[in-house]
Amino acid sequence: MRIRVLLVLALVGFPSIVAAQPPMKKGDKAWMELEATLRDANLKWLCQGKYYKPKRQDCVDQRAKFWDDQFFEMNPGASGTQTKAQMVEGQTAGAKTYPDVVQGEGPNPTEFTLMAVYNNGNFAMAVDHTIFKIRLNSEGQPDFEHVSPFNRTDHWYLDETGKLAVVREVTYARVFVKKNGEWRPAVGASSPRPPSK
Amino acid sequence: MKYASALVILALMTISIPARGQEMKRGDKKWMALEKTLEDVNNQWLCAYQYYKPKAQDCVNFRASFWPEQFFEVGRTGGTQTKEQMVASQTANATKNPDVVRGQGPNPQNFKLMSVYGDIALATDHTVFKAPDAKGDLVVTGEANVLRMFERENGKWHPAGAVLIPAP
Repeated sequence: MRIRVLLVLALVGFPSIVAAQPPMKKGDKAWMELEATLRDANLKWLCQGKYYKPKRQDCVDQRAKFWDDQFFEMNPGASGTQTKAQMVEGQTAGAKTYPDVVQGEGPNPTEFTLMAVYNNGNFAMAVDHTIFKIRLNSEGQPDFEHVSPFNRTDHWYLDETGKLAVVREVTYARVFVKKNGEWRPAVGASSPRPPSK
Repeated sequence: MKYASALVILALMTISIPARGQEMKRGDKKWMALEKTLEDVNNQWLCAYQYYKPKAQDCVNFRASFWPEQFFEVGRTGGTQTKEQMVASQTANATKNPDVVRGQGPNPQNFKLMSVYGDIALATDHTVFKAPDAKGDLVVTGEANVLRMFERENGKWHPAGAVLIPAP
């Protein structure tokens, strides 16, 4: 009888013990590991690096599954604040007009930094420096004809490969929630920053 | 007696689980009540409306006690500042410009609760920045759409961070 009571006690108490995990501190091992995990989740979100997808719609479909249901995004300009449904709809329309993606084209996150962790380690806020790149045309100029109007600009420069043009730079707040053991994007918000070159 | 003690502990533990598991839905009564609470927290954060403070440093000091240690903000030109950096720059500004006219500074409007994750809530507003002109009349100096992030600690909501996106 005593063993049964202790067993029930342990099972019921387990979630409380898990929830009461000591908070991690900026720069400690757990913090650095989480930062690396979220850096990877960020690449997945943006279909960059090993998550590159040559067909734009494949990336939109992946995001639709990866973003949390409450996901929303805030950006400068006409798009403003958009819910997940609005984002998926807008990006699906964009994928029909511009179906192909060159490797490295689109948002490239750099300097990913974990800023804060809450909710017993289940909610994280980070920032990065996102560089938007587009392909070049046969004259070596940015191919504005085959990308979203948001990426059209008078100021651009070649990236380190010389094969893509950097057309826009922002500081992006990347916020993640951990659900069923997986980190998912919860919100993205970007503020424009002056061009690096 | 031992079993009775164990059952009391068991009961106390199980109470905390449903409390954590409470969920609200967008637009329901709890959601609207939380939106109202956070709108008030937002006004406190910005020393706006009924939380106006005539001395700039009083607002900086209040924020320093209100923001958690992990607070950060992304400004309208893309710069990121920690709580420590925010307090330092705002203190420098308050030393140069110690007096605040009622309505000067950030005026948040259209506050909207967007998502809730336990002790974290994410909201948006449209903030209008005002400052006195040469005649002393308040004029709009800038506008931003703002992501406002909040965290609840010991039952009280605090600002956790913000991202300011310049609005035309």
